[in-house]
Amino acid sequence: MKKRGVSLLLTAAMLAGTLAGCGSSKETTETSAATTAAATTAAAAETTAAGGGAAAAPVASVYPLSAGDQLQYWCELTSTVSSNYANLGETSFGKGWMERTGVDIQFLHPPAGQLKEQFSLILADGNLPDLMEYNWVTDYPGGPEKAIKDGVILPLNDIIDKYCPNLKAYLKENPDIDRMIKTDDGNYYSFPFIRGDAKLLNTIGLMLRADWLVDLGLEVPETMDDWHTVLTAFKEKKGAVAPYTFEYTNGQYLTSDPFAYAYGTNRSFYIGSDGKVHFGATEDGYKQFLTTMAQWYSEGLIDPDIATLKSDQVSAKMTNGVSGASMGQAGSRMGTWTAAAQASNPSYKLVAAPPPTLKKGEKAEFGQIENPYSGRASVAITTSCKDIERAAKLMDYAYGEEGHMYFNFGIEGESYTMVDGYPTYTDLIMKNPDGLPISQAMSGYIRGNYNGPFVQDARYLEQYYTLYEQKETPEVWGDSNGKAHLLPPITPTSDESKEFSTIMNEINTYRDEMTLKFMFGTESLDKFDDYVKNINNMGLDRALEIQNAALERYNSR
Amino acid sequence: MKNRSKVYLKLFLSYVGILSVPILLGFVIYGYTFTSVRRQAEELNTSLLMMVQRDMDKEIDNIQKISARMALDANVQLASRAKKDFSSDDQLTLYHLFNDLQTIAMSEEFIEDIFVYFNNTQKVSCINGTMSSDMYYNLYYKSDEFPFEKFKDYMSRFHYNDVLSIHKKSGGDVLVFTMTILYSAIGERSATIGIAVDYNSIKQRLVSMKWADGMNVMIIDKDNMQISADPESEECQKLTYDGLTSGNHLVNEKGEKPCIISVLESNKTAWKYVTVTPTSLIDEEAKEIQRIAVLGLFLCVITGFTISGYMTRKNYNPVKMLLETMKNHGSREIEANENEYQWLNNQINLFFQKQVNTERLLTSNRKSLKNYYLIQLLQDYYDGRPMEPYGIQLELGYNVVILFEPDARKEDIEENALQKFVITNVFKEMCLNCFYVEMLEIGERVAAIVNLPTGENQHIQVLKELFENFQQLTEDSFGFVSRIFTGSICRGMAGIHLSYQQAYDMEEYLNLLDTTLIIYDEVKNIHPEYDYPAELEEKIINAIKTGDSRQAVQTMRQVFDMNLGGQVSANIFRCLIYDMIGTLLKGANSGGYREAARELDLPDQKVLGPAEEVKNQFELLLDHICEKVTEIQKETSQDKTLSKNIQKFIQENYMNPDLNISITSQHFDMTPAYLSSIYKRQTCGSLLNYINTVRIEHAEQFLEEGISVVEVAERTGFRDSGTFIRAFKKKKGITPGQLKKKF
Repeated sequence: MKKRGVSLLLTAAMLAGTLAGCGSSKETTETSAATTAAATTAAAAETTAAGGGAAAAPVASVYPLSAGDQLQYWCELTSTVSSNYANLGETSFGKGWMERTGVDIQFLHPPAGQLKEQFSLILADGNLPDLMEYNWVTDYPGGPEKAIKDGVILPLNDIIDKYCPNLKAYLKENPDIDRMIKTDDGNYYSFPFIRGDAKLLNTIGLMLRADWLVDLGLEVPETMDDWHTVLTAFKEKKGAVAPYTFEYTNGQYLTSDPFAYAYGTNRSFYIGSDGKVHFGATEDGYKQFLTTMAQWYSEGLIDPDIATLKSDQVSAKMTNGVSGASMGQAGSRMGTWTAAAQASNPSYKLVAAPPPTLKKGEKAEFGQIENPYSGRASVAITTSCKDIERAAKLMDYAYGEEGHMYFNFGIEGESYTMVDGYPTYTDLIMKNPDGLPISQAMSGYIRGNYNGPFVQDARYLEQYYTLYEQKETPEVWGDSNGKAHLLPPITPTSDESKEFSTIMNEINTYRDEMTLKFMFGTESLDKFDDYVKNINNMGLDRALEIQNAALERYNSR
Repeated sequence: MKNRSKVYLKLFLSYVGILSVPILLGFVIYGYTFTSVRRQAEELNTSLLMMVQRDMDKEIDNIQKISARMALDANVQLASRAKKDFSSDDQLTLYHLFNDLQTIAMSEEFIEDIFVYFNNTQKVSCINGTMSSDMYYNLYYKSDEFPFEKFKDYMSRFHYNDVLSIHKKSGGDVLVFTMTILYSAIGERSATIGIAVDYNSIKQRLVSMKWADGMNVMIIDKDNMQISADPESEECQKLTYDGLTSGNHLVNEKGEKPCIISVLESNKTAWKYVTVTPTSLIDEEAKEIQRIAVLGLFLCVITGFTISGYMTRKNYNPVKMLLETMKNHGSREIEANENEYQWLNNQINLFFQKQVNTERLLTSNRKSLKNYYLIQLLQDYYDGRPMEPYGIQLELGYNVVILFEPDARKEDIEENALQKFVITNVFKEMCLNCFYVEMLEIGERVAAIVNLPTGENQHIQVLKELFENFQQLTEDSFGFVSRIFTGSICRGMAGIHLSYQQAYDMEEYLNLLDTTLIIYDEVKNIHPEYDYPAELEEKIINAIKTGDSRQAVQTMRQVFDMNLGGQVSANIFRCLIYDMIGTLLKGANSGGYREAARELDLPDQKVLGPAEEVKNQFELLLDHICEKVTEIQKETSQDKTLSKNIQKFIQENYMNPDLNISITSQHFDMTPAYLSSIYKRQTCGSLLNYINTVRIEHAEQFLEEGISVVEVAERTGFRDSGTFIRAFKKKKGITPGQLKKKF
């Protein structure tokens, strides 16, 4: 009866939505978005009515939920999982999650490295999974507000009010995060991945062979000149064919390039000291950065194959002595490489290097830092979802006490034990009997070591970093004023976003191409002005205008 | 139940007969299905193979196209020209190539990797970037059986649509389709395109195409490399590329595992697509059908028989019920040579025969009943009950009753019956032309109740005419004339009785009126009676007895005056005269004038004279009779003295035992007979009796005085005491001894 009631309401709401859509909007996508919005409102209204006057606070869900339909959950299978499992549902984590929530989940994963492409295919197909884990902020053209208006995902305001007491409570306690995870229009759209501690925000940084430094009697480099010295030494004294290498094809690394930061810029947008949005790739600092890079490249300090590098090669080169310095995460890179290389070379050691500066002793103004909410790995409920309540309750689980522990530490007694009130991973994770690296062992039990719709716990990182060198990375890499220049997860309006992405696609392609040419020296840096001019002609001003407007809207959320 | 078996069995068999149609049909269908399953299995194999061929050929074709495209790709061409090492320019080319490879790999899910092996620089560009060939080998394909040298050697040779099967370092096998780039400098094979396809994805395709679990689908190439949906299958592992020819083959027919092997060659490369289907699998399909068919038949039979049984019982029940009913009414048992229906038929025929007989009986009964009620109607007052049920249809408001009296003498019963029959039928026929009539015999007569619409007299006239015609007819044709008495027309059923009474009474007019047709309405005005009170008659008789003629004449005159005072019908007068004559004769008789009827000149009752004359004649007769009576009276009074003398003589001589009639007659000088007759006439008693009476009376007196019985007997003239006792007891009822004791 209740179900029927809801569906009736839904129908009514849809009808209302259709009528409203006919009157007010010409876009069918907007109509359907309005429909779903109306439907949720109707559903919420129903609960309010059913619960009497005091129904404003959502009632805590009782897990496991009663039996219901299977839900489809689409997410990228991170490499530390895919190396041992073909599907998240095969992991202990996946099984336990289903068992604890009582929700049968069918996990769907795009082929590795094809996240965005598969996402586009799914959207084009129209047959959406119930839940989609994605970066709705940066990777959906037009951003989350557009995704709602396109009728792809549901606005979650009423759903959170109704079914998600845990998330609601968390957001109430953390207003800054609350601001991040909604659109300018005030719509919630996802169950966010939140880094719950400042330590977790500095994840990428420079690292280099500490053992070589010791051999060569060199200090950990602090300035660009130091780096030049060290890399040259590696090449000449240690026989490194490609002294500096990193996964150039990984956009995240490229954007957080510490060497670009050293010149007070990066290749994309940042907040300048004027509080406005800047585009680094056309600024003077970027030219200086490219000049240095071109020089290094010509001197053979940078991997000649850098343009097409992916992790396999970088790992190979970093562990076999072809390279001596790289950039990456403390866990999946520094830890993994160290473990792999020490098998044949026990003296192998990596050390984190601080964000480089131009002058010695200067505190770096720029540095890699992430927003607690980057938009990454955030789960939206799609409009194809039939059982919204079930989906919402499944997602809300992770934001509660029990779910938080489960997502970050797994199963008590199996993957962790409480030692003096501190969740301590067991040897199953730390010294895996099957010889799995910690990251892979963890990935079988938790999501705390990568991402997902939950609040990440710093205590994971404290244990995940087994090496001293790893443990010090947050401090080393975080030693900058980077937070001031970090662009919060702003969202352009859906109207602007298309324009913005059109402009930026062209600019980025051109920038990447030109960056390589400048670096490879096939294009003289004398041409940098032409390059800037070209980018401006591509509508950079308009893009900046859009970004600044978005920032203003964000600030006034 | 033995008896029911015949029809029951017949019914049951007919149902089972109907049931046999689907069963037979089931067998036929089963047989047809069995053969079609086998045929279908072969067709399935063929179409499966064609599907595999189409699908795989498409993929191969696609891969070959991509290979060709890459072989002609400008970036590849450009990069392949590089000698020894890549320049910065080449790096940019490789960057573009890398992006292209990414795009291709992304759009072709079948492709696991696509790489370009640059021979000159010993570099490999793949979707994971550009790297040295040894690194590429070490990262992805390192294995003992396929060392780097071999890999290098293979890649540096010329290939065109070749396939290399190698192990992946991460486990599993891949097929690498290779093609050396085209347009290269002569003799220099500067680059080779490799497209790696995961074994498993092909295998998955094959597995997904299987139509049954037990079968196998495989690809076999000219080097006998196999990709098999079921790699464990030993029989399949034995198959070789050259040993297979296109078409369907039955293999190992008599061996342990007979199977059908279907083969189809690829159009694109030196592959053969093979399906291996154990015949047991097909048979199993057929067996499945067989099981279902048998189960179906079984169910069909079970339910069929159940329903047949049920229906038979249900349909037999009415027959059974009829039988029971029949049997309960005492019908005979079913004979061995007839079934229930025949038996029933016979019984029903018998029943109807009885019914007809009963009907007949009932009809005659009804007739009797009708007659009974008609007689009741005639003779009794109508009690108001409806007469229709008895077939009496006197619907009109008025009725008249007619009585016919046959001519025949009462004794001649035969003649009487014949005449009655004639009357009944002839009159009924004649009457029915005019009125409805009910005829019935009532004693020696025939009664007719004629139903009339009104009480008008004209109907009597019609009837009268009818009577005349009737009488004429019976006289002419049958030689008799019946007498007819007709009552008056009376209202309703109740009137029938009245009318009958009237008709009945008409009989007495028969003599008076001397006619054969008496109609009540014509005689009703005649007063039927005359007033001749009994006391007057007594008075006349007594007067005659005493010879008082004056008194007798006076009384007679009174009677005449009473009755002849006013108008008088001749008939009544005639009756009165008749009565009066009777009175005269009675008087004369009682006066002792017994010869009066013979001697007197009585008036002729048929030819009557005028009333005054008859009256005088009667007066004269009375005078004469009275004279005669007086005369007779005188004569008898003389004789009484004689009887008194006789009694006196007897009183005096009773003790004489010889006293008897002879002694007495001697005493009075008369013959004993005469004496005895005179005594009797005068005293009306017998002389002997008188003697005995006197003796007994005296004896009683003596007994009272206490004289012994013997002495009393002596004294009273009894010859012995025995005679005395007998005579005494006869007279007094008790013996003299008993009487004496009383005193």
